[in-house]
Amino acid sequence: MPQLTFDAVRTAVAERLYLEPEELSDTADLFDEGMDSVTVVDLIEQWREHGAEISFAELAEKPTLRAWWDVLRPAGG
Amino acid sequence: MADSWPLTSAQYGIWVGQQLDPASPAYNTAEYVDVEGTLDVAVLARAIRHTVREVEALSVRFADGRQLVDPPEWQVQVVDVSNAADPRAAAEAWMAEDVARPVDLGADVLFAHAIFRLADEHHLWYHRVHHVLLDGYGLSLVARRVADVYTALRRGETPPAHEFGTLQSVLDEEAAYLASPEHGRDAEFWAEYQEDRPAPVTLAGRTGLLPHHVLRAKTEVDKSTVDGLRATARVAGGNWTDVLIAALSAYVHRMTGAEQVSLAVPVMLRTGSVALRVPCMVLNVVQLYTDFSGNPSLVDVARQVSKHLKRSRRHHRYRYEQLRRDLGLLNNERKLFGPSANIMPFDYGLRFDGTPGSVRNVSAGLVEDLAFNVYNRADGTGLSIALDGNPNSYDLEDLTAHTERISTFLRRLLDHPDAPVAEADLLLDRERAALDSWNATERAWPDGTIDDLLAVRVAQTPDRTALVAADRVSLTFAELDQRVNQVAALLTARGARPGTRVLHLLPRTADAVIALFATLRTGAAYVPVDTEYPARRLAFLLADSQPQVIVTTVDLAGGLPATTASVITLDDLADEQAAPRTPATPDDPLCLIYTSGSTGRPKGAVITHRGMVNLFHHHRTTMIEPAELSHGVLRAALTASLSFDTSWEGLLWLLAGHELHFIADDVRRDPAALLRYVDTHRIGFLDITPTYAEELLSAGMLDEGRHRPPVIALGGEATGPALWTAMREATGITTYNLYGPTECTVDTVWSRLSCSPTPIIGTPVANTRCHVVDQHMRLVPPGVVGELCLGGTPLALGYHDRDELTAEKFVAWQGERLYRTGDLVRWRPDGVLEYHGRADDQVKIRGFRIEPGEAEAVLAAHPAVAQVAVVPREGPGGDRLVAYVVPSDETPDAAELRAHAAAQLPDHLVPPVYVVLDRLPLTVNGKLDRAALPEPTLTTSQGRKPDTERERALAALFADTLDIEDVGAEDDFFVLGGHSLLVAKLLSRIRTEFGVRLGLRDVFDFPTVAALAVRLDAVAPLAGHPWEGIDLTAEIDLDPAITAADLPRSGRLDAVLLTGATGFLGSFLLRELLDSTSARVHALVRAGNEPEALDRLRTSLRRFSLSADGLDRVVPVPGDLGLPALGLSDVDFRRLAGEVDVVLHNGARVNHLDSYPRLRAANVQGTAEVLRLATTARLKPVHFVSTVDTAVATDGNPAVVRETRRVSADSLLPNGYVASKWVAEGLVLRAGERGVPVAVHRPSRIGGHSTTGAVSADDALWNLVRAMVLINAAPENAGYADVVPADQVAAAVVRLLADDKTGATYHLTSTQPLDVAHVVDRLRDRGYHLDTLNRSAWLARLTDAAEKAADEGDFQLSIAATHAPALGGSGAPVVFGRDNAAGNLGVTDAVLDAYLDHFIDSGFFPAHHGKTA
Repeated sequence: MPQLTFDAVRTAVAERLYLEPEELSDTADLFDEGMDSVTVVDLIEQWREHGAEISFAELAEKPTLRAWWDVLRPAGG
Repeated sequence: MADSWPLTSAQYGIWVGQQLDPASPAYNTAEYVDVEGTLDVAVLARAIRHTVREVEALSVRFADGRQLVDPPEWQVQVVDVSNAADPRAAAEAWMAEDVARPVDLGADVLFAHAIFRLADEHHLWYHRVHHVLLDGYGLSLVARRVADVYTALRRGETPPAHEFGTLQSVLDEEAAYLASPEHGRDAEFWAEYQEDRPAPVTLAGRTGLLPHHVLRAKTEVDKSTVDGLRATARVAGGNWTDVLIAALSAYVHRMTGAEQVSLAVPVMLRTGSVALRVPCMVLNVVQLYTDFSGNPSLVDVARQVSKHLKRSRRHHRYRYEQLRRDLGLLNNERKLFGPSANIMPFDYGLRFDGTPGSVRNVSAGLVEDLAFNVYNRADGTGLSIALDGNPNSYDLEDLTAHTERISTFLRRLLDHPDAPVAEADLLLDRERAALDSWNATERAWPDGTIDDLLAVRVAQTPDRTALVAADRVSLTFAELDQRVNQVAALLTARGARPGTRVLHLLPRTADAVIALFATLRTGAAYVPVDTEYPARRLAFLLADSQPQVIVTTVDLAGGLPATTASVITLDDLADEQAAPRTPATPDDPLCLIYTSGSTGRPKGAVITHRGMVNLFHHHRTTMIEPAELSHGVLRAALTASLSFDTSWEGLLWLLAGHELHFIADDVRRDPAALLRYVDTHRIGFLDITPTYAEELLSAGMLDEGRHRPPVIALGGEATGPALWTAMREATGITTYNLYGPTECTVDTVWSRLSCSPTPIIGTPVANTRCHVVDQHMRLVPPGVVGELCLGGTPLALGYHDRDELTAEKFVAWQGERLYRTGDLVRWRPDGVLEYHGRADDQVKIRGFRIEPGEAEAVLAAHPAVAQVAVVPREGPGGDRLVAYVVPSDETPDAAELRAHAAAQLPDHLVPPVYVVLDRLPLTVNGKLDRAALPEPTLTTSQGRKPDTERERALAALFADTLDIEDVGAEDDFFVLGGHSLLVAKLLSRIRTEFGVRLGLRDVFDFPTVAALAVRLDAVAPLAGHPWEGIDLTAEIDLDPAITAADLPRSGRLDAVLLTGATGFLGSFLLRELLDSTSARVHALVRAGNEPEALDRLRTSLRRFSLSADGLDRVVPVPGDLGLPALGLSDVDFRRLAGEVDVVLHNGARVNHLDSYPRLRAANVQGTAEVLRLATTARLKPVHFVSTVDTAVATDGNPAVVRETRRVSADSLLPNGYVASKWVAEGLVLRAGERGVPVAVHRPSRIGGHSTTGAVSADDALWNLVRAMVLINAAPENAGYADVVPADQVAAAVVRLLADDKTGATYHLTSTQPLDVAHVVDRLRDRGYHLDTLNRSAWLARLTDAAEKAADEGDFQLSIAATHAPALGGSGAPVVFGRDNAAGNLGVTDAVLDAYLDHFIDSGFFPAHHGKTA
């Protein structure tokens, strides 16, 4: 199973938000950028395949790329 | 932890709902986790208990709108179902039972946990919780925590600390929101979003009561479909959930036809909130509208969804319960939401120490109508859709069909996401197959025309009775055939042949039926016209249908407008030679039947022989022959007018060999009479409208001992459930329901009532196809309401001479020709059609097809009408048309408008009720807002109560006919709920009770008890005594204040007050005052204002050939003798009293047939008011015009009746008018006793001007003479008439007034009474032929003639007849003494000649005929 990288996370998120990865800042509130709960759940399922065990609450609590990477990083190595 | 908390807004909504229905378990939500693999049940139980202790929300119970901390005692149940045949099913059954148990929020444990052992390595963990505690997200938090705790416990670790937040924090956050400006902004956002939105639609087409449980149908959506959703989502720039929601709304759109679809979208509200970490209930629901008006594709709709959800996100916290309150939707039928789209896939990566668990939903909670619940599938390869429905609105079959259709429809949409959603096929294959089978109605009949059928029938049963008509004509088939041949020969000779039309204007006699078949025999088409249509309609039909020949009677022929058609009257049928004929072919026109047009122009549907022959065979095989088997040859009744296509129901029975009874008008319209006929003649078949059926039931059709027709056909309008049940249950009668527009040959859908407990229209008749389509002409699935389009043999050729309209209604569709009925129907699963109303404005009232537009067009043409809308409304007597009128400058009068409409429209199209509005209310879209139109107010007893015998009797009839309690004298029959069918009933009762036959128009023109009573009076003599129960002597009661006292007199003659100046004598008095005095004349006139009053004076002067000069000396005084103070204000009364010097009181209501009470106000009280005026401000002499009748006794008179004589009340002529004058005279004399200078003038019979002969038309004597002229007979001993010419009377009165002669009574009578025999001789001298008959013979001849004339609507002879008793009789003529009056008054021969000249010149007397009749 491929490891998760920060870039991969950024790309996945940007794709779901119909943005270019460069357009996404590390600290922007993703919900303001158009993220919603359905997308979060989709991403969780996507990243679970990479071994990440995160909860909705964790991601939704601090909805920035940086915070998400903090939670996802252990799986990413 | 606190002791108690308030409720969150979300909790409050649920709590209130539960309080309203404590027995409902609908708020229980439940799910289970399916764990396959190693599971330690005991540890799981511990983990569950551990978690529950941690969740604040699960530790409460509810009281007084708060949640109190009171952790319950509870256990995790462990249930082993591994030995069951189907362990999972057994577990699910247990769960179903558990979830259906209601819980008491104040006392019970509000949640439950159970672990089911399906097998060693397969368990289900069931979790039920009341929705007031947790929403779906809350459940997922709990489940996750349990899994984490279980995993830790299994590994022997201490479970990590929970990260749950507090309930308090959620409450605080909510309180902050409610207090914030965002709250107000959110309210505004949603209010604006709501504006101008239509009401939400539901798939059930009706709202159901809140249920206690929910029906669920499931379907799976596979992975490839999910991939399709995602792919479309990318194109649309949104989530796959947006696409799914879009697809669901597209489904609702296609199924209901609604252009805007409302869906309810539940929102979690956890992100950005402390509630992210708190198991609790904060779920809200927001509204989503999708718009299909631009013919969007799936991608377009998905974009709408995505855009709205994103845009509204900030405002999602606004409670929907509050929004409902804001919009005033509480206690309202109207819902806030449509179906709910519940797509909330939670993060459910549950692992129980490595063993995965997946979640299944058991119950999502209360469903008001319909919920689409979407979950992830167990194997993660797709989605499950659970369609939850309210069992009060859907059954399981409905829901299952919906789920099947949704998944198929979804796939079809995703196959072409850029194509308009309107194009995706909605039907399942099996549905298409079902529709095809329901339309497999092909039958092969022998080819031929209706005439062929008749010929066959005649050959088969020539001697059987075919037709029994109202004129008691009875014909066998052979005789019928012979007559048909005769008439056909005549018609052919006049040009009837295939391709031509023959218009029939015939009364309801056998000839009408003969003419019908005769026309068909010539190959021409017949055009039936009802003889009761107003002239204008007849003219229109004639012009539109362009017949080559017209068949009518001599009587009716006179009413025909000029025409180039050949007119045949059936009165004298000469023997024509049989002419060679070209027969019709089956596709030739049979008839033109006209129906209402929406723009005011009726249209003629052209029916073919083929269509009618098809119907014949269909009815023969399904309805007639089955009846024959049981009952043999039957008698069929034809009650419909031949101008309606439904008349063919009866005619087809005739063609099938049964005896047709052509029922007369007065029998068919009177339920009681019809039932008697049915009984007497043992009628076997009746074809009636449901409304009429109800009348017949009320009249006792199903009573014991009555003959029941074995077959009854209902048609023409929808049958309601009550009637359906009643007829279904009636033993001995097979009732059929027949539906069909005129454009499709009478009937196209049929059913036997026994086939269904609820009303249906049924299945297509032979060779007919029924297609139910949406507004894009696409087939809708069975069960969905759509427009019925008919195809097949019954279709008419089109509308006569209306190509455009024909093209609009008769369309090409998938290789077929269809007629668009505009009726909404739907297929039941068993292949039977149900009727669901109209797609447009057209309505049926009592079986008549009504385009309100037609009545609107006619009314709009009236000058008093600026705008009008005609709308059917429910009334006390059934549905009727109400016309809402916006007046132009003039004020419209209801009776006038009604008469205007009645002059151009058939009776059933005339709106009975009129409501005047300032403007017509419009909806947001600028269309008429029907809901905002006010109900017509029933003005019950606003006016006075009926106060004569006759009025009371009429009021009772009104009340009885209308089935209401009280009817006032001024109440309008139609406003109270009457309509033309009830008028017929009323007229029938009037005929029975009063022996008088009034017409429909009479009730239209005189719709109140008072007015109709007057009409009755005019037509029939008064039965009762004119002043029954009244003490006339006591009536002479003059107010003590009216006295001369010390009032000064002017002593001049500068101004005279004249009353009654517009009457006959009054006009002469006015003329005389102007000519012989120089006084100003103040004339009291009934008018709205002075110019109007002056106009009336001018008109009456002219009417009696008097000059209108000198009117500048007239001061018009608009007032009313019948009102207090003569209808003047106090100020005006006093001013008038001060301005005039003398009063000439001539005014009165003169009606020799009225009762005393009706004349009292004007004649008696009016006189009192005049006397009051005479004694106000200053004293004025009063000259009172009375009548010699006050001195003439019925029980004997002295040789000379002196001026001092006044008879006693008992000896007065029984005449209300005379009585009123007698009382008034008494008042005047009483005033005289009190010092008021008074003079009483008693003229005898006032005749016309001594030189011009101009006379009042109401004169009884001359009416009698006219009657004599008309019947060519005079009675012997006709006596004398004391006639004095009006100009002579006026001259005498004015001279006495000018000479200030008061204190006496003056007889203004003839010095030489007129011998009536002499008048008759003078007439003979002029060439009139008059027999002299004895009294009774003469009276008999008069009565006979009067009745005949009354039948034609001319009541003048009837009126004359009522005066006949006044003519002479035995006894010497009365001689009047004239001690006081001087002058030579009377009718000399010269005057008599002047009279006769005038009568003849004016046409009052018909000119004498030179020849004998």
